Amino acid sequence: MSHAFQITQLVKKYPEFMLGPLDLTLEPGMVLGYIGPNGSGKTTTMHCLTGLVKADKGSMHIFGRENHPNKPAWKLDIGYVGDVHVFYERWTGEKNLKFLSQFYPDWSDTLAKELADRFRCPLHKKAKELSTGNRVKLSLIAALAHSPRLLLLDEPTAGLDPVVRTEVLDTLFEILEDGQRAIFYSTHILSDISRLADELAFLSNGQLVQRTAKDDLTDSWRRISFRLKDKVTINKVVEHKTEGQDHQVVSSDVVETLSHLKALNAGNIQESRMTIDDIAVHILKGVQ
Amino acid sequence: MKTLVNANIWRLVKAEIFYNLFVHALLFLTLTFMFYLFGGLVRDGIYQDPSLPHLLAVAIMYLLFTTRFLEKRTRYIQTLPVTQRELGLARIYAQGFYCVGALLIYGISLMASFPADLLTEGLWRFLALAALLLLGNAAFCLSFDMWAASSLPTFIKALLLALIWILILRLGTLYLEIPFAEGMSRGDVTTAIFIYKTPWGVMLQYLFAIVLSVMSYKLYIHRQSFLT
Repeated sequence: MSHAFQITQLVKKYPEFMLGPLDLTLEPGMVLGYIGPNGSGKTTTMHCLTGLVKADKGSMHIFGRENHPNKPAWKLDIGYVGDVHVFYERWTGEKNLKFLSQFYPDWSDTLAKELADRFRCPLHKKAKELSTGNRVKLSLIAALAHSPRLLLLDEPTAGLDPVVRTEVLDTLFEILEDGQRAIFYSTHILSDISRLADELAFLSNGQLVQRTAKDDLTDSWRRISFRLKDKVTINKVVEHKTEGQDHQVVSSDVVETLSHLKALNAGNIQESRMTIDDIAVHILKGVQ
Repeated sequence: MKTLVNANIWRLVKAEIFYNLFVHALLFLTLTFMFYLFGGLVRDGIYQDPSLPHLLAVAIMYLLFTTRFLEKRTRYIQTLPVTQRELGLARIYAQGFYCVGALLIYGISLMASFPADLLTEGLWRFLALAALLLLGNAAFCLSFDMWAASSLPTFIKALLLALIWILILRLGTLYLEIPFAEGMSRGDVTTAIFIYKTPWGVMLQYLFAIVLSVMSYKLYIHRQSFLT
């Protein structure tokens, strides 16, 4: 069976930034969180994948079809919400959706209406009169109403205040929790996606740093404190703070670190779980 | 087979026309009234130069062209399941329709200004301005597409665009100076008569407009980025 998408050796160069070479795949029905700081290349990856920007090297396939600009059938399989929400500004939301519906054979007006009700999006208003939150909602409705098999979400909640962001995400996740679609969700706010993601891919300076199952990450990372006379290098530790004989470390592999500490006869060992945001910060800090 | 028109192209062009329909209609009514007014004044010998409202029509049409680019609709339609070729053609056609709007208004102006010579003097003026408008439109599209082309150095782009616009603006001023032929140099009069009063001159402008449009289209479909 084809991958939802397959990115092979993607390279995109700008005067002061280079993305890749990047290899990344996503399986149908899986949710991949694409995590990285601002300027790490998340949006460039999305733009290359959607054809908004042409890659310098490499290939991209959506459900087995190359994202060729003159063979656009692959676009039927994707729903895309970018960080900028562009419409025919003087048209109502409803008219914008009507325009889009002409291009998608699987477009459902019923679904669009249902989504608008769930998002509480005022489709009768002109796009230029919509608040930022409602523009995001309209983009999401447009991306979902043709039931795409792959949803590409590029920081869709950027610029929203926390209340509207939570409202949009709660509704979105309710809709997406059925697991029918593959989702590629890029963000620098991990809590936005941690609820839904099966896997997380970390990007820094245009390079993929790590890709791992979300549960593996939370199972293996720990904050550990212990007492030890000497300051030594401990296996799998990414951060080490000391105050006299008291040590506090962050471990990326709790089993290996604990076994090493035991071998060193460390005393008063205590471990605590880390939040996924905290883990992400350490992963990305580690490569900078 | 590569067609020049299909359902997707028509959908995109239609959206563009209807999107600006209200503004076009308003402009149409306002300028029609103005042209009848000016036409009457010219006929009665109160006002000699009927070119001012024409210039206004052209200026407003160009302001309308820019809205398409400023509103980032290129990015909006880029993610639709249509080919790059269809997007490029729809873009050229949609912009061409602005010219049709301007010419419609100008046609009414000519009916008011030259009621007796509509099929001679009026038709010539219509064809001449149509050529100038299409040329300006093509140069406008080319300017955006050439500026977005990352393969050309900025200096070369600036130089080429400056040359194209100097030429087009000169053609525009010649068009406006025709009514005042007595104040023009012999060379300018010869050029103006060739460009606006002979079939070859008018044809040359149409040809130039087509060449610029094709260049614009080629640059558009080979663009590295559609984020504007």
